[in-house]
Amino acid sequence: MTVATQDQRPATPAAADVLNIDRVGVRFRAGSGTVHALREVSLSVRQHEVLGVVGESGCGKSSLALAVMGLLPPNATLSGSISLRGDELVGRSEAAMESVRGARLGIVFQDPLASLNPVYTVGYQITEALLAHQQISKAAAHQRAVELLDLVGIPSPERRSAAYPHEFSGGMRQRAVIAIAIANEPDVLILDEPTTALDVTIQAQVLQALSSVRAATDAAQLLITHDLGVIAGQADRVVVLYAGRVVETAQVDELFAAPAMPYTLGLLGSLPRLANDARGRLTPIPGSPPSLLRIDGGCPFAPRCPAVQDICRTEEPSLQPVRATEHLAACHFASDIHGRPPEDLFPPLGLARALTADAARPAVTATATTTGLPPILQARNVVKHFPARGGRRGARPGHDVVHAVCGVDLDLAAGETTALVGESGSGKSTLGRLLMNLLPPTSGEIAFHGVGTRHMRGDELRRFRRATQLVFQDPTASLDPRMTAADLIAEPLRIGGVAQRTRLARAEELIQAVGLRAAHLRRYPHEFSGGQRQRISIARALSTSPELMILDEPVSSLDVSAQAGIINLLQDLQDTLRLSYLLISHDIALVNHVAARVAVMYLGRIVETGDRHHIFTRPAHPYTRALISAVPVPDPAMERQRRHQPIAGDIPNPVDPPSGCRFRTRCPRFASDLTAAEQAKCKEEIPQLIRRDTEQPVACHFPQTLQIL
Amino acid sequence: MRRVILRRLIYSVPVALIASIATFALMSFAGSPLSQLESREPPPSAATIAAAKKYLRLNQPLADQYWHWLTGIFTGNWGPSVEHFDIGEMLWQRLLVTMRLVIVAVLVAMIIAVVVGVISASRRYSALDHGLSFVGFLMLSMPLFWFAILLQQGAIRVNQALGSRVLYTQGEQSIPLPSGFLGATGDIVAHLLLPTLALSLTTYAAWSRYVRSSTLEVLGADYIRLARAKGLPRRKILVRHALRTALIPFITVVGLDLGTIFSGAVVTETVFQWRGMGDFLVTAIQDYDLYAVMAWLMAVAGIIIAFNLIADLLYAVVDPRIRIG
Amino acid sequence: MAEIEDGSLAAGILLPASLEDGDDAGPPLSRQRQIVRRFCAHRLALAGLIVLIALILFAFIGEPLWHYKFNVFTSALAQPPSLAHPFGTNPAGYDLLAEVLQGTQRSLEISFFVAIAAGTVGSIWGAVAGLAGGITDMIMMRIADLVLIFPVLAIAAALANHFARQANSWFFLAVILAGLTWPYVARLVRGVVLALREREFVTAARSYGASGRYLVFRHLLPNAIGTVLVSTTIIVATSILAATALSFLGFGVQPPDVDLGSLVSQNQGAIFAQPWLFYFPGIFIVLIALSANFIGDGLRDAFDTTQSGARS
Repeated sequence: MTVATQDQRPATPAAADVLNIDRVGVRFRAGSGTVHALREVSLSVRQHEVLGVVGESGCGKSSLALAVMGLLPPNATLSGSISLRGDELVGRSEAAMESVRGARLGIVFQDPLASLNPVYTVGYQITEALLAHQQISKAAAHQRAVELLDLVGIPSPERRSAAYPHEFSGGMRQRAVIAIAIANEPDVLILDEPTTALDVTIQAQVLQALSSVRAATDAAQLLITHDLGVIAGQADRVVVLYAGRVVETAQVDELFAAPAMPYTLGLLGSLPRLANDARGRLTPIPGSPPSLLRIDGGCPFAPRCPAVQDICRTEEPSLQPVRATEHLAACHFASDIHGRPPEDLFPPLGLARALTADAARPAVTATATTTGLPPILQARNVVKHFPARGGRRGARPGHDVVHAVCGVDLDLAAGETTALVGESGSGKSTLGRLLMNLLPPTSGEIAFHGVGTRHMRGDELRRFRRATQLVFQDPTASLDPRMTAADLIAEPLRIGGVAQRTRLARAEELIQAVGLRAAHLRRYPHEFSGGQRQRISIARALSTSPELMILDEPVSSLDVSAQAGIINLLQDLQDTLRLSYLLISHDIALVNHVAARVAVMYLGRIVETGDRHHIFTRPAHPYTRALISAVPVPDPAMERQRRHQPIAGDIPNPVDPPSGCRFRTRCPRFASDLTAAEQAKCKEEIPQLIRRDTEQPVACHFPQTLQIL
Repeated sequence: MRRVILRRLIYSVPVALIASIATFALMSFAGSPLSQLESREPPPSAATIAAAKKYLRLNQPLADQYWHWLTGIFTGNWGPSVEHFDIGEMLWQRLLVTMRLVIVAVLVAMIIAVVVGVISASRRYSALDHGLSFVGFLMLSMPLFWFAILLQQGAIRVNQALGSRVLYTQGEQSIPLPSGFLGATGDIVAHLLLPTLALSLTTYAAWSRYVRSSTLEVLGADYIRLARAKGLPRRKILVRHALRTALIPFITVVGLDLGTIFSGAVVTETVFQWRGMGDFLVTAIQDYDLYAVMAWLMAVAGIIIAFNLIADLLYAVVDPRIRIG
Repeated sequence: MAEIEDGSLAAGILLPASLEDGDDAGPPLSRQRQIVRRFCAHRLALAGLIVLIALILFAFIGEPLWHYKFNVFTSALAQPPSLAHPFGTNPAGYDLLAEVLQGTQRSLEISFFVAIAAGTVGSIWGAVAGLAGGITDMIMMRIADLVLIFPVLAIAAALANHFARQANSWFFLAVILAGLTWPYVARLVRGVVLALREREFVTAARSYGASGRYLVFRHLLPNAIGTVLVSTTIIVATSILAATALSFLGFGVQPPDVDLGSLVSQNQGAIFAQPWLFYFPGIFIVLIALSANFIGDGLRDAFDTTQSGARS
């Protein structure tokens, strides 16, 4: 599939290019046809620069990484040219590529646990990389391996080099993989979604390791990710991929400030912002990325583009300069789009058809939070311990206990969104399930409208189940693949004994309310996209007219462009139906966008809680501060200004949490500001969640309200 | 680590104990050891039957019989045989013969399985892969006794064509055994050839499918991709990274199939007329020699439990996730 | 795979017309249809199915229709295959085709009985264990493991020998084999149930108050059926091999009844003089086991939701 006119390239001195990718195409032979993963992709990476490659699922970015490394699967066909400092890589024999890989090209993959062989020590895996390309002694290689571990910020590198991957935490593993990738000082370091699988505070550590690597080596970096915040903070130049094509490229400031291609514009508009106090509506991009099987003529973004014209459907635009800077965009109307805000182009879509609200529900006005209304759900001193399942035969089941939730008090107000924020091990998902009465608490009370849930039976329990619903993180896993959309949406009603005709009518009403069509009721989950499946999941949750919906990471497994649509939908539903939400999420920006009240969890305890505005502008707990400052913001200027001080260490194991204040092992205040006597207090006394001389309750002995953002 | 070993060892004891109870209980359903005696023509006298009953402990209550038998094992007394031989001694002799076949066949089958499985995995979907897969299915569907006889007959034809006995088709050794260590070993090995071929060719197929899928799974793993990205040569990746991880669980699979292998050994020995455990078992069953059958079952169960124990420990030694935990 | 475009995100909000397509993605692709389609793509499995059906017809319709019976003398002694006796005759004058027809019937009866019985008992056992968890699970699986410790042939032989004197000895043989085979299925099904139990759609159903029975019948069983079918089919193959081996040793089907194993046994001496007597029964055993194995493999592919990439 060739493009009508030739793509333009930004004018740069050729000598500065380290990696030159010229009109590269990758095709896969699949059962039902040919998949064009990449089409006519041209880009170059210059010395010392970080080139960010942005795209969502199906854009071909992973194929790009594999194509450069020569690691495409056998059923793939590679065309075009890839040259590394002038040396052509395409068409090289396997032996020739082996000498390039690891020596002149390094790569870091997404999942650090899967990337390391579990039966060899980390040190061995680094020395293996060294010895494959350098003629040095084993002792020298070992020495170098230790130095590399130190470079990427792993404490006690000598001791750690003899450890096995499963003894490392996620962040340390990824840093070890980075060490392997740079061991032989490659010309280019390729990073394929390097921090996607990591917690926010851990991501900050790894990003800092990447900065250290940048400072210490000459390597250029090709950073591939869907996270625009990471791009804003790390990249010098950016390339945007869509449906296997480069659709825009520019310097990072220019791209974020004034994109010229509607897709990029739409992406930026669909992101919830951390610093955005106005909290306007998000502008989602309708539809989903095209299947790469059929390549019709015309711009691949045309089916979703709000500014589409006839020419867009017949002629595919090539990359052309915009305003003659280094900014190139593949759009027939780039110069018109350039500089306009997303709201100009993309309507803030949300709810399709209004549902009849429950008249008995007390009216909630736009600004009312908890005035006068009793909380819907109250948790007091909830504790949940799990017996350790004993991973392999090492851990001691029957002995070890996972302290998932340790004494949580929480109030959920009617008609508003309360957010539960935390990273892995915080216990937020477990708390969600406890509140839903899906798990019995080890101790503590949970009351729904004042009635304790633990001993609910019969009718009372049934009413509770109808009134509270849970929306799961992974829409694929939470929908039984053998049931149609109609069956799935109506299942809660069926369990509740509602007649079939009523169920069907309700399913029809609901599926349209979430933005799909009645005809879709007959379809099976695998026929829908991820975003659509999540909509079905939400429709199912609405079927019993609940009062409270617990949303457990509702958008984190979706593409960015699909997330915005779901977020808008949820907000519309809340307004129309006067729903109360408990949003469980690790996504700080999302929480800032939708929540009224926020509770921050760490290792099973709530460390700070309060009004969203206060928490995000004047956090009192060091963990909250660290969390907020670790989130990359999709604003390059702001990212450059921020001083990133990632907190050290890893999230402790919930089997063996630290005594006293659980955050003390990583707390920057503990490490630098406190006296020995104060430190002892943190070690021995559990800080209670009370209002100290701060505006909101905080669980810290020495809170300090600092203005950030 | 030591704790792991200890725990597994201690755990095997109740397993063996329960196995013995199960064996005993099962054999109570297998008919009476007196059947042969009682069906003799002319019928034996009441006194003969009474004496036999006493000898075979049939007068005692069942629990006592069990206890008598169990405690007897520890002193080497495996109980009374209908044919009046020392069960323990005979069993031991036969065990040595059969273990030759079992051990060699298992090793050969494992080697074939690994070679076929790895080749199939690294040349996935090729004509070779499909061919090997088909052959594998064929061997999976092959009745061992029929195949063994085919081999035997084929060998006889070869011998006839060549005019001399090149391939041994009967027995586990020549009588008398050739003198000298080399001569004796050579004779035994030569007699092992055909039975091993029969048993291992019908056993490797299921294992090779396992090795293939395990290797494929490992080859698709991210750490293999990273090993390639390091620029390591293909062969080194295959051997050092892929195989080790793929084959670690293989030994557990073999342990699970040991029972089937012993069944196969019984059939193979019958066809090739070995005086091993196979003949022992078949004769004992036909004679309703229950104590002999029980001894056989306990011996085999013991070997299987021991093998699985060693496999578990080997697993722990090789996989650091278990070793360190 | 057809993907549906997110058509109407809102009625009443202006949308480009091209988004309205997407519903002509064909009829709903139900899971059943997917499974059948994937099975048929596996050529050997399809062939195996045809062969197995042919064998069943051959044995159960052919046997009554064929004018010789397996236990009736004919005047032709030790004749090689001919038009009158397509499989030849044995020295006693029995027509081998008739014997093979009868033997195939018997062997098929045994193996299907074992497969269905072991499959049913094993599935229920494994499902209950997996669902119950805790001590119940442990005890149930220890019992299953115990059965697996012993070589099947040995136990089956010892037990079958006792019941051999009875008429319809084949039935007892089948029951004994089933009693020794169910643990394989139980372990597999338990594994599947354990995995399914943790799946989110089960948690989701629980969150609307689904009872245990509802979960089992509406969610767990339908999703476990693939494993059950595959293992049941494989047992057809393993049980015919086991049953014929037992008959070969003399512990299985007893004279005057015949099955394919006893035919091989009684004819093994004739392999030089009348090779057809030896080959035909054996070939039939291989055919039955092979087709069952191919069908099982095809079923495994058909139910495998994680499969990616195309077969050649």
